[in-house]
Parts: sequence; C-alpha cells; structure tokens
Amino acid sequence: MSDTTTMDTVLRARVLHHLYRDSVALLRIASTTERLDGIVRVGAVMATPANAAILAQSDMLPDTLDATADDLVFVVRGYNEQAVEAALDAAESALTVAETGAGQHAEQLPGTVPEGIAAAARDNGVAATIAAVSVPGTYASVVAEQSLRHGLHVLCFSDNVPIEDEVRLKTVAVERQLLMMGPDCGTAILDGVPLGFANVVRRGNIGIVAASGTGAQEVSRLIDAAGSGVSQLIGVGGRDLSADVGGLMTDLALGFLVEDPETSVIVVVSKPPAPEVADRLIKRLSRIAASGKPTIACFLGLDDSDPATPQTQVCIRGTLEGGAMAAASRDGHPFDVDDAVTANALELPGRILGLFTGGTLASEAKLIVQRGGAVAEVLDLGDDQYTAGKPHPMIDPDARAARIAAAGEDPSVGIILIDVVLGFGAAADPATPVADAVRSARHAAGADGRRLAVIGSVCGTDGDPQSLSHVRSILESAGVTLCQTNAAAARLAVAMSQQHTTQQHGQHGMEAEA
Amino acid sequence: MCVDRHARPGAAFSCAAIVHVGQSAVVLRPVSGTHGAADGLLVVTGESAGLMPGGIRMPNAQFSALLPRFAALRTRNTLVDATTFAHSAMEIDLHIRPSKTYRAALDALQRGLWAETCANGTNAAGTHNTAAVMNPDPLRRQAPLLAAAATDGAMAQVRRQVGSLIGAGPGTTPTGDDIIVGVLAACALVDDRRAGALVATAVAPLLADTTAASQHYLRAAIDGRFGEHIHELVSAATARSSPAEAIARAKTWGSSSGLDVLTGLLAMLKAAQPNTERMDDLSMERSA
Repeated sequence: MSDTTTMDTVLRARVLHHLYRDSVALLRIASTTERLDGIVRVGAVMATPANAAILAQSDMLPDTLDATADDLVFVVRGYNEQAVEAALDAAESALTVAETGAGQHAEQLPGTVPEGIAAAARDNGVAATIAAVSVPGTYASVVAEQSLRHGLHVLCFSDNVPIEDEVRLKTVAVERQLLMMGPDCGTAILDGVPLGFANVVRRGNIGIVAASGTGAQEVSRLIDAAGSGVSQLIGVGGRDLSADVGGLMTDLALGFLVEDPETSVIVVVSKPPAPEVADRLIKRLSRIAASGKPTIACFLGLDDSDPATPQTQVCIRGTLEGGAMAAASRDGHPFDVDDAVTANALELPGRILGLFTGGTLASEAKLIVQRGGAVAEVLDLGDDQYTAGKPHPMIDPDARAARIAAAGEDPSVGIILIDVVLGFGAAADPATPVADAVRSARHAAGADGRRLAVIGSVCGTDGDPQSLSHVRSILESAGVTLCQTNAAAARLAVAMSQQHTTQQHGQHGMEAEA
Repeated sequence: MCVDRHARPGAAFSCAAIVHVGQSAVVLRPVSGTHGAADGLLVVTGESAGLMPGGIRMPNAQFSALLPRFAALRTRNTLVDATTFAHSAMEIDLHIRPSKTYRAALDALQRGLWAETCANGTNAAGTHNTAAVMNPDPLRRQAPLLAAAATDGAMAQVRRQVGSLIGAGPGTTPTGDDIIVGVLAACALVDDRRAGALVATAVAPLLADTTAASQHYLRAAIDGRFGEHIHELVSAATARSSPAEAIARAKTWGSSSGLDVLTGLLAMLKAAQPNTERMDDLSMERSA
C-alpha cells in the first residue's frame, strides 16, 4: 500500500496482485466508489508502465507503487484518510463479490446446434431433421459441420465459405447420406416445404437439383404454370458443379431422387459446369434415364440436344425455359411459349439495358441477347459489387427502381429489360417501386422526344404471397410489356432493338456498368 | 465445443492454474511444460463471447455452469485439467484472410462508432470524475496517427505511437492494446504485410509492458489470428453482415474493448485505402 498527499487531499492505492477484472466491472466499481462521501477521484487499471505514466500526469500515482503489469491497482483520492481507506475497502469487497458472482446468466435462446435441437424437440415435440445456416461465412462451416454430425440435413445460405471447407462438408454429408445444400444456397423445396427464396408451386412428379437459385425458381414456376408439379427441389450451391467440388452434392441428390417414388422426371439446373464434371454428370443422367426416369440437363449456354431415344438418354437444354418445357413435356404437360408479340415487335433505337435482381435470370437474358447480336448491357444487381452494405434487390426493390428511373434520362437506352421475382423471401411488394420508376423513366424519355420500351417477366405463381396476377396488373398498368418467360422477354428485346453488332459480344463488354 | 486450430491445448494443460475468472472468459496457464501457443495461456469462453486465440469455446450453458466452479477453485489455488475441454472439439481457423472492403460499409461503421463514442461521453462509466487513466478517448485519437505511420512506412513514428499505446488505458486488455490489435486486423484484411510487419516489430520488444492476457492477444494478432468478435467486425467491413449489428455486438465486449478494436480497425482501413482521404480524427469530429 502507498500513499501520497497533495494539497488538502489524500491519495492511496491498493494493489491486487495477479487479479484481472473485466473493465465493465472496474468502471462500475470505480463509479460507485467515487460517489462515496469524501472521495474526489478514483482510478482502477492494470498497473502497466503506460497506465502508471497516465496516473502520474493526473496526480493519481502514489510515490511508490509495487506492482507489475499483471496487477490491478485501485487508486483513490479523498479529503481524509478515513474516507479513502473506507473507499478502498468497499472497492476490494466489490471486486470479490463481482468475481464470485460470475456465471449468473439469464436464460438465453439456443445459441448452438445441440441447444437448437433440444429446443426444437421441447417446443415442437418432434426431432429436427434440417438446420438452416445463415451465420457469416467465417463461422458457417463450423455450424454446418456440427449440424451434419448431429444427423441434420443442412441448408447453408451463407456465402464466403472457403471452397476447401465446402468439399470437406460435402464429403462428411455424403458419408452420412445427408444433404449439404450450399454454401450460398438460397432455394429449396423439400417435401413441399419451401426453404429460403422459393415460389409456391404445386406438388408433383418432377424432381429438381439446382446449382442456381433463381434458375431453380424460374424452372419450377414454369413447371407449375404448365400444370405439372415439383416433388423435390434440392439446391446444392453455385459451386457444386465446379472442378473443385466435383458435383458431390448433385450426385447425392440425384441418388435420392432416383429412389424417390414421387419423382418420375429429373432436371438438373446450373450455369455451365466444369467440362469434366459435365461429362460425368451427363453420363450419369443418361444411365438414370435408361433406368426409367427421364432426365434433363438444363445447363445455361449449352446447345440444345434431343436424344434419339428420349426415354433412355438425357435431354440437354441451354435455357431455363427450355429445361422447364422439356421437363413438363416428359411429365405429360407440354406447353409452348407464345412469341407472337415478338414477331410483331416494333423496332426502337438505342441499346438494351438489362437490370436484373436474379443472377441466373440475368445470365439467361445475357446469353440470349448475346446470341441475338443486340447491343446490350445486362447487370445482375444482386452481385456483391452492387449490394455492398445494402439488402439484395430481391428483398429491397428500391435500388433497382432508382436505376430504372435513371435509365429514362439516358438517351443511349432504348429498351429496359427486367425480371421481377416473387415468392417467399422476396419483397412483399416488388412491383410498385418498379412501376413507379418505369412511369418516371418513360416520362423522362418522352419529354426528350424518345420512346422507351420496358420489357420483362415475372418469376412467380398465383400461390405466391405477392400473387402473380396482382403483380402483373401493377406492372402492365405502368406500360411494362410482360412475357411468359424470362427467355421470351430477352428475345422480344432483341427483336425490338435496332442496334445490333456485326460480331459476337464478349463477356467483358456485356458486363460493363453504365 | 471449438478450439483455435493453430493453438490446440496440449498435454501441458493437464495441470493448469487459473489466472483469471471473468464474466466472459476464464484464463488458464499451464503449471509446467510447454503449450502450442507461444505464451501458454488458454482462454476458455462461451458462445456469447466467441472463440479467442489459443482458446476453447463452449456452449453458453456449459460455460455458465463452469464459471462458479472456477471462481470457487481459484480462491483455493486449485489446479485443473483443461485437456478434457478440448476433447473432440472442432477446430476453427482464426486467421483473417485478405478480402475486399467497401466504402459504404466502412462509412456506416464509422458513423456507428462516432455515435457510440459521443453517446457515452468522456468515459463509459458515465462519470466525468474518474481518473484520466480510465478514459479511452485520448488513446483512440492516436489510432489514425499509428495507422498513417504504418501505411507510410515511418518506423520511428510507428515505434512512438506503439510505445505510448501499449498497456495504456482501462481494462484487462488496455485500450491502447485493443487499438493495436484492431490495426493489425486491418493489415491482415487488406493484406498490407509491410504495415503489419512494422507494427509487429514495434510491439514485440514492448510486450512485457502490458498484461499477460493482452500479451497473449497481441502475439496472436502478430501471427494473424484474432478472436471471433473481431471477425464479426471484419465481416461488417466487408459488407457480409450488418454494421449496426456489429457495433451493437462490439459494445458488449468489455466497457470499451470492442469499440477500441473497431477504432484501430477503421483507422487502418481508412489509411490503407488508396486515393481516399484519411479518416478524420475522432476528437475533431466530436468537437465540430
């Protein structure tokens, strides 16, 4: 113990060797101590050299202080020795109480997988079978692995999970015959229960394995519109068909669908897989088809290929629309897409500006306008570069609406191409902000003596919370030309565009931002 | 149960002494032998506090049950066997990987930090009389200076700033140390190895000037490993999670530790961004 007297006050210190206290507790105790009668100032810090120097600067350092950096020093300045000693006693007592009181916690919500399993059993009376993981990517692999090791299927919405972790997780899942959907998987429908972003589609006989969220939504809603239904929609994450992951989860999901008595047709939806993975996958799909379940490989960008013997070989389609048509047809509900409006389209000057919320829908549109040779710029506004610090445009439509309105001021734009995605997880009213923006854009273009066409499609069903017919009426009232499918909208845009290039557009040029 | 992948508790912890029992962590030290971590400390935490470098994280309920036991044991100088904690625990890599940060996210974090430091007045205890040594604000004002010196490669300036920050301020991990950890986290995030090496070089000879717990975290930071709570801030800075939620969580780490780390992190991220102005000095913003 040390003491120093300065003017009319007394300074004393108490050193508590090798004692740590959380700074919250220290500040609380210091503040309480300071309110005692006769006390001027209090300090409670670790006795590091730097803190000793700061104490000295504020006349709070005793002349001698026998303490090291791992010691807690409590210093009190007061008007008399008795008051200061009493304050130090009270502080030391409070520190002891604080320590023995550690561990008193209020009841908390489940914070771990085992706690969640226990809570589900307690609250619902049934054992959980699936864990939805949406924690930041840094932790997602740990939570997902815990879930798998507890026997749960996993839907992992989180992204930014290292690919080596994805391979490890999917290997564990395959060993245990569990679904590891994701990372970065936003869409699934299991036993009729939608998970993540999903449309309300009727149950039926078509099983979908999807490495693409909005791709799966477009295919499933077109199947529904055709009168068919979905048995299972299993998302696998956008990297599953990469060379690194090798289709681990697609293989497992296909196995489940082959065994599923409710599934009679199987579709795999993806952006183009790694070539070696695609080759192997197509061979497997052919074997499945030969065993009695027709299969469709819906890989964006591939050339359509109809097998010589449809019942024994895989059918390949390069658009989402084509994949849905092939699947519905094999399920006994063929449908055609009415392109009559395309045939009669008026041509407009100006380039096509695609403003999309769905990544795979943007890819499909980009593919079609590229093939059509139109001058176009197609943006996926759900990409990381546009969503930094903001919600995804499928959740918050305002950012996309602002771009639509701004496009009306751009004389180089003749056609705006859009998607509107409905279903669980999407915005409650995705149409009104778009409709308002379209009116604004068309008004601005008209004031400038230009015509501006807005073309799009709605990825949704009348069973969706937003209602397809209601959304269509809002958009059409604003002058949006709506097509039956996303691909049809892109074709119409190409047909209306007067600006065509003489050569194929490169990927870079298509993605340049306005 | 999770452990730091790069400092899994070894056999040495079959006989460990309790160093510290706090609301959010229990710190153990092996009585003899060696340990995977350079300084040999083991930080046991619950889910709420998150995994710390060289630590074990257990479910909240288990940690809550453990705390009173440890608190009682400590008064009798009893040794414990901590190796059983890590049995079958999953390993987590606590390294921060280089990633892109977003200006909008950094601005949102900066606004949140500013709002919190303004709202709390001159110290978190809500009183203006406690000794200056318990006020983190003067130390926080040094963060941009350290960041600028590290970015500019000015070793003498880095040494000066680190020398006045290390071990300075309130808390078991003093404010100055938390700021340095935040700066090192930012260096790892933007992959500025030169700046990180400068700060590490300045810190290493001064480690004895701070607490054992802080030495532990600083050593891990020099090695590129950071507690899960710092990963949450990084996640917000890279626009993978909500800045508001990250600020709210940071406020729960000690009275000022979370905000101190964030101060260092933001200062370095702002300084490291090319062609953008440096972060304004907090004190200047507050006096404006």
